[in-house]
Amino acid sequence: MNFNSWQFLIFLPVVVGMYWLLPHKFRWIMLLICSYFFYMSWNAWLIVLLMTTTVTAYVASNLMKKTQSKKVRRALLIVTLIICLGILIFFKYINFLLEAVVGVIRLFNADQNSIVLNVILPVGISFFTFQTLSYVVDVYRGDYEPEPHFGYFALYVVYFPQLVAGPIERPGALLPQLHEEHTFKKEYFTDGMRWLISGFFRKVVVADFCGIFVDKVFADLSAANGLAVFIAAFLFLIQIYNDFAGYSEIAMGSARLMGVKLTQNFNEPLSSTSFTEFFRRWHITLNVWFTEYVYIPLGGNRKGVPRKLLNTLIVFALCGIWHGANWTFVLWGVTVGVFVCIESLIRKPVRRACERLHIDLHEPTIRFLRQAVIIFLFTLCSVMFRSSDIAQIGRAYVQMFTAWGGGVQVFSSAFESLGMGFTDFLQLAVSFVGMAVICRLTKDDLPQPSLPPLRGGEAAVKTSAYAMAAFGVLTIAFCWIALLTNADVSGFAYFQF
Amino acid sequence: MESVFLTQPVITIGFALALALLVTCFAKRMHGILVACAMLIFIAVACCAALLGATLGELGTVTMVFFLVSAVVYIRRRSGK
Repeated sequence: MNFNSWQFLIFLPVVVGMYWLLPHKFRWIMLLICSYFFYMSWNAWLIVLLMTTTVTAYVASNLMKKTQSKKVRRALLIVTLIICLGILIFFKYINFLLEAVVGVIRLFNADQNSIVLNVILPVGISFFTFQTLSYVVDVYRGDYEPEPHFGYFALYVVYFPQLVAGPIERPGALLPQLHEEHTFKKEYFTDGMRWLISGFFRKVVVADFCGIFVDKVFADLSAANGLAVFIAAFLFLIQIYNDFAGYSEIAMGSARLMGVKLTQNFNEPLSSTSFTEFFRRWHITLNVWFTEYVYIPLGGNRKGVPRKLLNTLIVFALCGIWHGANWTFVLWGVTVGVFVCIESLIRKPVRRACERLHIDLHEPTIRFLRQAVIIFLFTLCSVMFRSSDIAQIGRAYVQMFTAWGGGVQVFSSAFESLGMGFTDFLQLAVSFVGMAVICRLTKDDLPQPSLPPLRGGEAAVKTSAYAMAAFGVLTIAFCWIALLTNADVSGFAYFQF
Repeated sequence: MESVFLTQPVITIGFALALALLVTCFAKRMHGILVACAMLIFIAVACCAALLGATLGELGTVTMVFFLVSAVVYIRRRSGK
């Protein structure tokens, strides 16, 4: 059951309605059943994996509480890591690992056949595994008391708004909210609808529309010139950002309708002026997870510069492989890791040079240039993320940097390769403006009007809100049906992770 | 196929009128009934456009413009402007 499906459009209001009608003591039961139903809509057997992870983490964390022995606690942690990560590695990476092993064997025996296991990739396995592990590690460290109630713990693992693609919630952020008795407030509905409209706008109007042109170019790179490949790479960056941010906002909106506040996962990453800043604004909960549970335990930046750079590369390589069982993702991770490392090495010398030359790095023009450079470099990196294999990466870069012949025809040829007409270009331009407006709309720091309500003041806010909601829903509906009729509606890209 | 917005000027004029009315209502903080009238004009013109052959993508783009105008006004009003 994808978020952008008619089944979810029926499922969500039914669940929210039941939530507010039921007394508090029965709400967790209803949410748990609905969340399992939501997950089983992909494949009923996957519930076995989810339950294994849930039961393992619950038992281990509660046993940790009962013992004072550090050895026993460590053993429980290790067993939990083996089981949970073992499930993740088997279902997500087994064929990747077998291919790597076969590749090595082929160096000695060229006749070695491929070994491929017929293993399904459970939806959201990376997300619920990481969320469960963050709980167990926090309990082990003593940062969080283990949840004694199995029902609430199971709900923490399987809570449907954030089950399949995050945000990855720390136990301290989500569990207390699940326990809390919520009384209906109008702001739950208005905030929830704001996030939902924003999320669906990003997914249907921006991401899926960009995807049409990206898929056309990447389906046949040899037919596309350098400009077309570059534009497709840029549109893919926009697509993946809005696809994932859109999902996160739909998740936030769905939870907010029930009074639960999920962690914001994106904070205008395209306005970043450095790689480091970008990863503080992009998929925030995953980057916090890797920082907290991998980077810091490896030593972070406390063991000298060479070790800090190594730790950074390890984290980004793991981050890359987390996204998918393909060398393209590893290459992407290592590449952005190298950029982050270079940036950390040149930051102070560049700052000193700018001070000497009286260049203000925060001055608007300089800031804009810095943003443009970051977007340009990320556009180049997005080729690795989009490509299906290393060979396609090579073909894409070759076309991007060499296929610029034809003089002024390069523009018309590029748009032909993209399959983009004038109306499409206009729609894309308007949707980009929409993206900027949407970012402002969902900023949580929207201040409440501080002036006393003027005659018609409050009503004026309501009128514009209703108009915005009505036109927003119509826009999403038109674009959604247009994509459906062209069979271009796709699931959320991050579900595959 | 040429866009219906180019071949049927009445559609373009109709949308422009609806947008102008919407913007005026927001600017002058007129009664919500007038905003509703602007929305009704929009829906009527959109139906005509659809019947005359406008694609869903074109309608989506035009609707997006109305949505953006409403969203900008909402953001400014919420900020106390």
